[in-house]
Amino acid sequence: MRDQLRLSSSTVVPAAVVLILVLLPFVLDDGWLTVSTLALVLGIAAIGLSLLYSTGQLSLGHAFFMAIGGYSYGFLAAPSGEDVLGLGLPAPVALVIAVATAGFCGLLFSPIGSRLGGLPLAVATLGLVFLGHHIALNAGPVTGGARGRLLEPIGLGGLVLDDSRSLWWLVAAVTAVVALLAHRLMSGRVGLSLRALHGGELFAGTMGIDVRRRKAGAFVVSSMYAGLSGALFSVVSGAVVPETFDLTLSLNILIMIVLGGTGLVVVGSLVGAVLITVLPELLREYAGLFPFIAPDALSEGISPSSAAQFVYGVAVIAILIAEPGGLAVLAQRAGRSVRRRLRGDEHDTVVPIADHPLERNHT
Amino acid sequence: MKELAFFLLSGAALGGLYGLLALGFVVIYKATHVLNFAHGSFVLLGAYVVARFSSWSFWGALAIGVLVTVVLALLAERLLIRTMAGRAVLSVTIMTVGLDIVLLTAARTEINTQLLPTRDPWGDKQVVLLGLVMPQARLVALLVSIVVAVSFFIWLRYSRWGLAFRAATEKREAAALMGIGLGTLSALAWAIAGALATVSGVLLATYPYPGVNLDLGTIALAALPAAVIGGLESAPGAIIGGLIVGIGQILVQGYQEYLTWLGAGFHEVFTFGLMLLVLLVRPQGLFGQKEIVRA
Repeated sequence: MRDQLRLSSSTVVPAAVVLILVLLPFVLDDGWLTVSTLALVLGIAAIGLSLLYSTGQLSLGHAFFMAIGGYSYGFLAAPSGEDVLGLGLPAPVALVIAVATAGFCGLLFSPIGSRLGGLPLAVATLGLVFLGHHIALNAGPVTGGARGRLLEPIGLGGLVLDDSRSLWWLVAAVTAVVALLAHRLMSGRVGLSLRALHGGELFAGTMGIDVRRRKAGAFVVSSMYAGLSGALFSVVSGAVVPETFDLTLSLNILIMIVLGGTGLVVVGSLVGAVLITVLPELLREYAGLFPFIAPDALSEGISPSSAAQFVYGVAVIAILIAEPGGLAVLAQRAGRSVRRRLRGDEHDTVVPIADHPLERNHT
Repeated sequence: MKELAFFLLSGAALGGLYGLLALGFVVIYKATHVLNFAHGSFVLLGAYVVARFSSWSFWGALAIGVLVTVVLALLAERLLIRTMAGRAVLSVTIMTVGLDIVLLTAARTEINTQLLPTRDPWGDKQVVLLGLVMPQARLVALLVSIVVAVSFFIWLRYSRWGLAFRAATEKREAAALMGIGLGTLSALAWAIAGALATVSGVLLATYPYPGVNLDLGTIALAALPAAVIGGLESAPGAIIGGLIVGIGQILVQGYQEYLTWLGAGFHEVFTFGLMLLVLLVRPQGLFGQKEIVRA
C-alpha cells in the first residue's frame, strides 16, 4: 500500500507539474502570464540563494550577480547602438556566457567570501550591490548608463519569442531544468557536505570536507543561478536598467527563501518566489476590497506595493517564530498528517522544530 | 594645505557620525552576535519623532525621541528576538530584516516625500576653527561622538555591567555560567543601540544635511562598512572605522577631479569598496579578534 502510494506520487506529481507549465498560458491573460514568468525568473535566483544559505552563508549580493547576468547578456546579445557597444551574438550563446560571467565574478569574490562567516559575508555582499550600481551608472558604453539599454526579443533559430506565451514556455523550461539540477545537487554527496557546513564548519572539516572549497563552490553555483535569473529578467522585461538591481531586490529574494522555506531548497524557493511576486499584483487588482489600499497614485491610502512589503515583513517575522522551515515544510507536514490520517495511523511522528537540521544554534 | 586640513576636519566630523551609527550595530553584535538590520529604521524613526516635536522644544523632543526608540528597541528585543532564543543567529538576523521592512514601510507611508526640519539650536551657523570655516552642527556631531565613545569605553572598562558585556563577548556560555544574565545583557544592548539611533539620527539630519527625510535610513546602512572595517566585535573599532570611512569619503569627494577614472559620485560607494579591500586582507576587520579554531 505504502509502496504503491510512493510510486504513484513520484510519477503523478512531475506529470501534473509539466501539464500545468504547458497549459498555464491558455488559462491566464497576458498581464498575469508575465507576472508568473517573472515569478519563475526570480525563483531561479531564489534557488541559488537557498543553495548558498544551506551552507550557513547569507548573501545580500544577489542583486549584484543578477546585474552581472543581465548586463552581460545585454552586451553580448544586443548589437552596437549609437552610444552603446554590443556583440550581437545569438541569444543562447549570450545566455550561456552571461551565466558563466556571473559564476566567474562569484569566483573572483571567493577569496573574501570563503573566509567570512555568515554575517560578515552578508555585509560584504551588501557592499557589492552598491558598487555594482555605481559601475552600472558609470560604464556607459557597456551598460547604457542611467538609462540602461534596450533588448531585442530573444530569437531561437528562426523562432522569435516576442509574445508572453512563448516567453513563458522558454522560462518554464529553463526553470524546470535548473530546478532539477539543484535538486540533484542537494540530494547527492555534495548536498550532504553543504548541509554539514551549516551544522558547523569545524565539525564538517573534521569529517573530511574541504570547507573553503565547498563554500567557494556553493558561492559560484549560487552566483550562476543569480546570473541566469538576471539575464532572463532582462529578456522578459525587454530592457536592462540600473534601478532593477537594488538592495530591495536582494532583500526580496531573501524573503522568498525564508517564507517559502530554507529546508526545501527547490520547492521552498519557488513557492516563495511566486508568493512575493504575485502578492503586490493581487493587492493592486483587488485594491477595492481593502479600504486602506489606494487603487492609484492619486487617491488616499497605502500603495499596493507598500501594503505588500508590510505583509512580507510581518510574514517573515511570523514564519521565523512559528515554523523556521517555511511554508513549504508547513505544507509538507500538513500533507503528511493528512495522508497518515487517511491510512489510519494513530501516531503523528512529525519531526519537532528543534530537531530541524538547519536550525541548530552554533555560536 | 589649508584645503587638506579642511577635508580632514570635516571628514573627522562625518566620521564621528558614522562611528556613532556603527556603534549601534556593534553594541548589539557584541552582546548577542546578531546583526540588527533594523538599526537604519530606528535611526529614521528617532530623527522623525524629534523633528515632529521640535517646534515645542528641541531638547524635549530629543528626550521623547530617545525614549521612543529605546522603548521600541526593548519591545523588539522582548517580543521578537527573545522568542528566537537558542536558534541560529542567521535566522534572528533575518528577523531584523523583516522588522526593518515593516518599520520602513510604516515610515514611508507616514513621511512620504516630506522634508522635516530638526530645528536644532545650531542651525546653519558656521564657526571658524583653526582658520577653517566649519558648520557648527558638524562640530557638535564630532564632539558628541567623542563624548559618547569615551563614556562608553569607560563604562565598558570600569563598570560591572561593562565587565559582563566583555565577558559575554568573549565566551557566552562561560559568562552565563558565571552568573551573567545574558537576557538582561541583550535587553541592555538593544536599549543602548536604541538611544544611539535617535542621537545619531538627529545629528545626521542637521546642517549641511537638509533635514529628516526617508534617505536617513539608507545613510545609516552606509555605516555598516565602518563597523566591519573596525571589526564587528570591537567598540573602539567602530569609532576608528567610522573615522577612516568619514575622512576617506570626504577626501575622495574633495579630490574627485583627480579620480575621474573611478566614475562620477564615487565617494558615495567608496566606503563599500574600502570595506571589501580591508576584508580581503583582514577578514576579521582591523580590530576584530580572529577566531582561532583547532581542527
